[in-house]
Amino acid sequence: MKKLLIVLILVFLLCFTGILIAQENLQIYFLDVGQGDASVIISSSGQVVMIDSGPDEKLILNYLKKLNISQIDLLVATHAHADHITGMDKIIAKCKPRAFMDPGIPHTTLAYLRMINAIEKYNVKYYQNIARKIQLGLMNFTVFPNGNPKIYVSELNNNSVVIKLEYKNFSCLYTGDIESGRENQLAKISNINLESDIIKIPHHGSSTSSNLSFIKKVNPKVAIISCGQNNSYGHPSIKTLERLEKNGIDIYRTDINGTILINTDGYNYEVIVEKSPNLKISKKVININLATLEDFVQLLGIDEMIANNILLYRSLNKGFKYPEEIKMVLGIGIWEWEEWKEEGWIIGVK
Amino acid sequence: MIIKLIIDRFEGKYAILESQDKDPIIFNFPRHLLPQEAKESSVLRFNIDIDEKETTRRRNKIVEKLNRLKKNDQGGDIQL
Repeated sequence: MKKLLIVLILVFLLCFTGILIAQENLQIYFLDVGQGDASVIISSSGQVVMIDSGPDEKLILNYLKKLNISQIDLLVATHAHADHITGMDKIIAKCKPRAFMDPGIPHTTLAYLRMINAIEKYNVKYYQNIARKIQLGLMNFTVFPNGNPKIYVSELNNNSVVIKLEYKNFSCLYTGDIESGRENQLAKISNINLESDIIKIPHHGSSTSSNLSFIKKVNPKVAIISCGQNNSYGHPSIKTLERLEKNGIDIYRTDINGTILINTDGYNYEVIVEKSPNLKISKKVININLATLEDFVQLLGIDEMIANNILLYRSLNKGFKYPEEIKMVLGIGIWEWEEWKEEGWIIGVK
Repeated sequence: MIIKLIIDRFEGKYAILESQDKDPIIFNFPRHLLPQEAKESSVLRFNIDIDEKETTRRRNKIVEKLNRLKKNDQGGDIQL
């Protein structure tokens, strides 16, 4: 009888831990911080990883509060630009990370100085950005090698920490602000596996990143673009959006979708967005310097006559210099423009 | 007055500068106005002074134009 009881207890315990393991999951937030990057990974057992902090100290501290984060296991600054590390000093003071990594390329800004000062002051263990693995619970990170940083135009962007998270069968690649120089180097290294379910698109979707050869190596199903609404830098570029679209990759953008949350049990994942959950925004991209008559008539309020006006204007003026110039065309005004924006159209000229 | 500003990064036609304040202000600056050798991390020295003569010249010029316009108005109620 006693034996039976022990067996029953053992069976019960096994089932119970089985349930616990099955329930273990991961939440990955790509926070809407405006023009910049900030991402937080939280495991159901309470481990926290933060990759970049965005451009706004108040905003990021608020997010940490909302997400109830008071400690961080691993903090990564992909590179030293202000749209990735603002507020890091405050975060370090508050959350005392167990580990910190950055590319170790010196920068002269106050934001960078404050971050490095805080690392020293709070005795945070500093890890260099070299090819290595990091294990944290069921999370496995791979830091990819850096190649030759000297060939790059922007040293800081291209030396970004490139780090891949693997969690059981699930994977997510963080690329900082790397540009095509580094992308090409990474794509050529034979003994690394860039392939990932999710990619945080490099450099806010800029036209100088997301090379086809690199994207093909990563072969993602979902692309996250972290950028600010109506930012002055033209991020993301229409070319990048078109390239991703052509390769059948689902695009989510913090400027349009707000904060993006990926929930995964390590096998399946779901993407939860703050705004316009089912809108396939990426489908509504039009390059008004390349679009045909058939493309233009898809826009609300454009018939063939107006579309012909657009084509005429375009050839007379040797193309549109900026998107809103389309309002100069006879038959198109502020009304049409605002309706298109309302419908989620992305109108570009390059 | 000489002020120091740091180049945080470049984005297309902009240089993004950081003011050296307790709460630094990050702002766009036309890249083409900077020396060609300026790089990210470069510390820039701006020698800023107010050009009083030019300010007066410009003000006088616009006042002249305004006065020309105002002269055409005889005053009184308006019936359009």
